[in-house]
Amino acid sequence: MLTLPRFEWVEPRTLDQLLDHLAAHAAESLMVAGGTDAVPNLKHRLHEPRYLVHIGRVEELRFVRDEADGLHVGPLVTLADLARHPVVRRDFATLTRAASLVAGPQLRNMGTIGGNLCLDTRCTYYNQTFFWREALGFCLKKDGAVCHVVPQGKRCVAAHSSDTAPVLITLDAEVEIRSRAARRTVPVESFFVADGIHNNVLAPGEVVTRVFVPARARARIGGYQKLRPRGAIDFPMLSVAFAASRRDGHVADARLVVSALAAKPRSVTGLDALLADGVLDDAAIERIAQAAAKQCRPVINIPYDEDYRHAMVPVFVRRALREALGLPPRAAREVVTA
Amino acid sequence: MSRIAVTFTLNGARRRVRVAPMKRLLDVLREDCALTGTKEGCGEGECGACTVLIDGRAANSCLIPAVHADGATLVTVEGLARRGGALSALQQAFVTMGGAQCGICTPGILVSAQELLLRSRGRVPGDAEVREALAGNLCRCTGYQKIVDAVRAAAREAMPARARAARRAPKARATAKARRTAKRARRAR
Amino acid sequence: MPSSRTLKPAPVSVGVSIPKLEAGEKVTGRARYVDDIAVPGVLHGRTVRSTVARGRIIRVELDPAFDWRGVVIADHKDIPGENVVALIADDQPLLAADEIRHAEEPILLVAHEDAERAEAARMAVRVEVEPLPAALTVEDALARTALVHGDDNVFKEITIERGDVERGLAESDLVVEGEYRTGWQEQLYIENNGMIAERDGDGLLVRGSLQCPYYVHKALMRIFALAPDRVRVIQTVTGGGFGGKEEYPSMIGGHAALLAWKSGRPVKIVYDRLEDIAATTKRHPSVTRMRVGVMKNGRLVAVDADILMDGGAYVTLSPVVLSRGAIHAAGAYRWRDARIHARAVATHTPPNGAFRGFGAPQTLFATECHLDRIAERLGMDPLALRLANAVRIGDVTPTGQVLKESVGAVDVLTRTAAMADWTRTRERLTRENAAAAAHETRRHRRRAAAPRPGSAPAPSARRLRRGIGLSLALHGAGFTGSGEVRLASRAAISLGADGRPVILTANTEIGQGTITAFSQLVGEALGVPPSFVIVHDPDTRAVPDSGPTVASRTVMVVGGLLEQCARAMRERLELFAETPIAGADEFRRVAKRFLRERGPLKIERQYEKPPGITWDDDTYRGDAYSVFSYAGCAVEVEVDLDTGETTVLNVATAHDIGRAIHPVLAAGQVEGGTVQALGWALLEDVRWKDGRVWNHQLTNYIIPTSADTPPIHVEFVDDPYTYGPRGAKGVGELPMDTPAPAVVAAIAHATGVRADEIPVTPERLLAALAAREKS
Repeated sequence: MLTLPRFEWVEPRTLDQLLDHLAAHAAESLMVAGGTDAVPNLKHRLHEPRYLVHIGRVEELRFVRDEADGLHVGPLVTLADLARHPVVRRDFATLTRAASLVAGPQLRNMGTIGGNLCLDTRCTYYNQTFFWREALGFCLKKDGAVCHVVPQGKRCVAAHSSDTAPVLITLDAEVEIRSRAARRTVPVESFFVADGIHNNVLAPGEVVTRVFVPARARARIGGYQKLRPRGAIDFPMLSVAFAASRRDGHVADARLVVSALAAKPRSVTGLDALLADGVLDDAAIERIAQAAAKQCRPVINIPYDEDYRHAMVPVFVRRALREALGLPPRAAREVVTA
Repeated sequence: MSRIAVTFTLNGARRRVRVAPMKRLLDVLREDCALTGTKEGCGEGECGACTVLIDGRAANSCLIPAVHADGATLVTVEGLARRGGALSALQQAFVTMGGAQCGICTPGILVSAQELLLRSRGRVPGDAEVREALAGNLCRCTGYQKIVDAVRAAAREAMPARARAARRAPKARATAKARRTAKRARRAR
Repeated sequence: MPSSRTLKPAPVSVGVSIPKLEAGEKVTGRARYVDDIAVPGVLHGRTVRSTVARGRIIRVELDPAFDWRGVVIADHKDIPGENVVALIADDQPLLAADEIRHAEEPILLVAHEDAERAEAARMAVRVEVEPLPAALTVEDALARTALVHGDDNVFKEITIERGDVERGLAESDLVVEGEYRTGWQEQLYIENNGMIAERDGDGLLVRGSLQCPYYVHKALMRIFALAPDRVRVIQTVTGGGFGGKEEYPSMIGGHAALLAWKSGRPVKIVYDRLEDIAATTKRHPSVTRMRVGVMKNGRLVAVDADILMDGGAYVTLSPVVLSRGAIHAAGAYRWRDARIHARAVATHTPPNGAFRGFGAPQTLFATECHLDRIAERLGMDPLALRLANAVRIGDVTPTGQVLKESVGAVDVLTRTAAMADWTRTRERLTRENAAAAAHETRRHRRRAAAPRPGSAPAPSARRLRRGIGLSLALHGAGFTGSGEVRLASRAAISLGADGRPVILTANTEIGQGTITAFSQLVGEALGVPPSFVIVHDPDTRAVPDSGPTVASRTVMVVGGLLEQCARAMRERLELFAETPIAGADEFRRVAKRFLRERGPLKIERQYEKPPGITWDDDTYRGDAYSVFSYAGCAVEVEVDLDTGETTVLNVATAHDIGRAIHPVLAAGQVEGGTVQALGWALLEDVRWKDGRVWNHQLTNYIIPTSADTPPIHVEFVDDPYTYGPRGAKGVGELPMDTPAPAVVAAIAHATGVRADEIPVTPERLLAALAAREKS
């Protein structure tokens, strides 16, 4: 039986109450909104906080505002609401797509955009019961000193599994972070850290209070491609997001992010050089796909063959790029009746 | 262990329970409210057997701490029947069309389908739309075909009679139109 | 001509899809499954298991820091009778005493009235085990790297021979060889295993989620050294079985009962998903080598099959799984010469067990894949090859069984082909695939020749191919060989005090609609509507032993007994009333009068084999089953050549199950079995680490969702069987047999690559595609 460990439930009603609590007890607190990630992990004793801080009633963190400078989204907006929001659908179709590809319908009803960004990383040897981890020997992400994925590894390589993060990076999105003492804004790209244990830059006492997508990203073309074993529920085995602005048949501001392979999303570098004169044609797509494959190398952190996932990198990069160009990434799957 | 009071509306009635704050909503429903229709299949939010409606949205009650439900409006499978206990169109369709086999996933599937029917009121969701809406509910018995058929049949049933008539074959539509014309003519007289 | 108007029309329900009688409780949430039953004073039981595959128990230590008050602890020394889970060989202990033979083997039990304390207690038990070398694979076991069973690690060996295979192969125009592998599969009923046990006077009452009350009954008698009437087993509403609740509930029931026996308190053991996947039985993985001799005109001559199944660490049901697998290995085809050699091998892994199909899907997978390979070698259409060789009335199987009636192999093939528009669809897809390939080649050449900057990308990026594949299977209904004779099942109907007929059988409703189908059969024979018939809960104190709910036998065998009982009861009552009875009111009136004047009425019938059936267990000769059911299946797939992903677009399947008692329920069996088989073929993969299943969560042992499932078109061909009730044969397992080879055939049609191992995961298929491109 998977039970929840004992903790004290803290339920702030305002952001100030939340920040006050964190200021005093950050180290012993775990924040939870929809609970879709934190609760299973709590059941496996991957977190053992003294306080479980439910932020779901801090209403001031639940908003979608379409303003001149861009789109402002509160961290408590559920993935289902985000995916159905008319402005998001109109201006940020890849974000809609990514949000609607997370897990299954119930989890999208519960899970929030803030939670999806702060998703814990995943690994075969980590997302297991306490008993199983104990029998095998604890790993360095939790309770132990060794890595079962990389022998002699000293850095956790658990896989970043957020669907929305790669897309937000390609849209130059930022997160606003607040603590009682300060407020700072960090590009989503810099939000994640790669040691796999601390998944992001949040310091004790800090909380994500806003996701901001700048207006300049509105006109961008984009694509999001997710590899998963089934048509629903599963975390990505690989995900690729792409966005760029397009003017007169040329593209600029191109961003390509490959994720679910390592502890944080990876931005593929050197795109400008690969996009000679900003022309995104077959040859450029191919150059970019190969470059991405060269820059990204998965490890056996999740239960799928790493060579296969690596081989899929150029395939999914091509698809994301083609999706951005409005070309069908997938032939229409009409069902032929026998 | 300290307990706290949690109040919610459950299948139309106010309920107040005193529970440990981290007790799973699933257990609160099954143990404290004695409503065992909501099932546990995996305890990790993967199978959907524990699906309930929270403020109109389908959610996995095995992932929800009790305190989270404070103030919420909850609907479980026990709340789907019509007043007086008669089966709803959705439940009836599952009975007649073979949508329930072993039945353990059925409560969760009915609740997810209920959300879909509420959301798509006035139209019959397509096959793919139903499959997508139920993709968070695993069933190992049916192969899903009869479930999808039953949900669509219930949606058809729930449509207002006029909308149903309009969807019928042109001939039926013509007949309905003729009837209306005749009625108008009678009224005019 | 006598007027028929004076007679009341008999109510017709057999063959009609009446609303499912079980469903009302299930759609309202009222149905009580084992975990829904509140038992005052109940303790929650937990099982301490081995974390190593093989070893010797040195010491069991209870953490002194833990508060053990209120915790009940039981181990093998507490067992009043024998430390055994009685089944075929009686080699599996209820609790390991000193030797560990597989990971997750139960060692110790704890219970507490608080479920969380019980769980904490389980974690506070330290078992010190001296690990020993283990044989974790069939290859290691056969090489005897470590001994699991006997001196050769073989649980059971079967040889079936007919004619002279070597001569047959020598005389054939062509001999085709192949090797086929199938993986483990978890039943994955959505309701986990669970049992409640309590002392009942000087005996035991055990209730729970199970398929076979009398299996549990038999096991408990041995564990507790109790007489039959002191053990009572009742099935609660059961959330799916698929074989997974055939033998394992005896283990859990024994554990719960031991804790209850020791504590004097009721004890509930309900597994969570992790424990259920890790510890309970799975489908046997298999390796089958085929050698087939065939003439140029497509006539099959000789089959030589060599089958290995991994049984796990204890015998459990492996011999009979192997037996069914071996008998089905020749497929639904006519052979002059056949030799089938099969072995169930012991390994240090959790025992594999019953799972829908029971060995037949594994061997039929090999046979059907091999038929496609032969068709390809002969340049023959796979449908034509099957049609030319499919069994017909009068043909003889490798065990020497003459097929006398209800042989629908040709019919289901023809019907399946018509439903799928086989010939035209296959031609069209072949054409489309060729066009797609040509287009891609042109595009590739153009690009290679003139990589013009600025050229627009081509219109279709994905390299998709479609294919259609076909398969044929037969499935023997009922126990294999003399199994039904040995079971000697008994079923009965009695009159309730309210004058309604009461069905008394040990057969369980596990989703398939047992209650509805039994009520239809009995209602029709008694002249009353099905809803008037009462079906008694499977309770060993009240119902006779009508055998287990397995082997597609419930309707055909037990339904047949019930039909006989009903006919006899009607005759008895009509004789008593001196008038024909029709309708519920009349029945009730007569029944009540009978009860008043003559006393209780109960009619029981025992299984008798149909005339002319013989079987020899020693030589494997004779009628392996009284009759076979048949199915054809066509699957259309789309394969993504860049990712190796296979999407099933469509399934068309025709079944000969004699006559369908309830067409909607029967179709439900077919659709559900088909999707379970698609999962086995493409998705479901049990992964191991040092003899332990590590993907024991629903996040990583994945089954198809509604979004992965194609539309399934089902038809039944009507070919009634004389000795089945109203002509019915078995249906439950048959749909598990055909889809996997049809998927593999469709992939081969789409891509030219034959996957000889399932699941055909994208990783595997992509590797195979790459290997072909290289060669």
